[in-house]
Amino acid sequence: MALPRSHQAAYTPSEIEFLAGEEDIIIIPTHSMPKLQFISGSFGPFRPPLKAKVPLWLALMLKKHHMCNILSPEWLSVDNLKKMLNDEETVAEFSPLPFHYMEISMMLLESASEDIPNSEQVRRYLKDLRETRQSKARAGLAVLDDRYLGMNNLSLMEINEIRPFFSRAFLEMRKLNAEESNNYSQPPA
Amino acid sequence: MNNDEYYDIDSILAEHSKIPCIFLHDIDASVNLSGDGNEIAANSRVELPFWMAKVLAQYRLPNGENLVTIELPRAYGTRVRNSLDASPTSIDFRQVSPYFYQFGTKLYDLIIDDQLPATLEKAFKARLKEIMNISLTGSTNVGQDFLQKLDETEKELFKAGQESTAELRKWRHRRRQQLKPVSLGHRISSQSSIS
Repeated sequence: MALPRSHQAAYTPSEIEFLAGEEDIIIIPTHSMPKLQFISGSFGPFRPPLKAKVPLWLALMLKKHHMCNILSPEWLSVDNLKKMLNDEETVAEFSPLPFHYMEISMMLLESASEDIPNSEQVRRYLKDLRETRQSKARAGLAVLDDRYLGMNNLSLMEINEIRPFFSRAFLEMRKLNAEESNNYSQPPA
Repeated sequence: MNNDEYYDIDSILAEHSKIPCIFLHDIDASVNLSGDGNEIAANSRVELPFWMAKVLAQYRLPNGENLVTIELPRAYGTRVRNSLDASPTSIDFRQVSPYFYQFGTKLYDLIIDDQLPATLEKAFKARLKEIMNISLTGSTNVGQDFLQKLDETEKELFKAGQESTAELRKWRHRRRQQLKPVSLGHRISSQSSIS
């Protein structure tokens, strides 16, 4: 297909953000609303002050129209992030963050920053977390082997960043390697 | 040979690299193999492009003799290999052979050389680390002189890595910039919510 290169090898960040909108989040509606019917499903009815669980895209839309307050997810608190940052710096593995943590945090901090306590600190911790994970990923990639590379708990955005470079690099390595394995006369039994 | 390499531009360009051939017979001037209308004496060395050399090397005369013998090009000779072993990241592939890896893989079929695949692979891995560091960092000034030394395959890799990092950065900063007008005033904030 005649896609530009940035679309060929990986998702674009905007596409990932769109996918992340499907994640569920808890809101506190401020207005009473009947059941809302959408193609992807029906949500509601909303009776304040009862909490409701809706997809993120709906939550952000309601928030924009000042019809709800978003409850920040548990992993997006200062204490949790501080703990994750500590783990990230001490343990060799990646700490278990949600698969879409980058997009969700970006969207929430942008549209609903008053719903997140200490948003400035949260932002700072997120930035540190991302940078630590990035440097860990790069250190892991430096010792790569072209047969197997195991990295657990990476988020979709991070995978997407690495994907074009690495799929191409593995392909080239396999091309160089394929000839080498052809030179062996008998394959091992 | 891989069929999807037939139309691949990089593969075609890689086959244009020259390779020295030793002719075992005299070639007439009218054949014009080297392109300048001279005749070629037996046992003389001529540098021919790979696509020509490959066909000539596989051609057998009616009496069963070979027409040419192929030599390993200078780009894959001992001097280059020694410097690859010593310091893979300092070799300037643009001068040695811009299609080092692709041409090297094509040589596998033609020349029996057990060391070549291992050498190529080792060099590739070593330089890959450096390329990854530079491309995924996102700063524009670092490592310019190393980038001059890459061959075409490595350049493709570098571009891929750089683009994905740039995309991510643009995505993040677009958001940051949208936040700025919101704090200035009610009228401007309604404009920014449309964009």
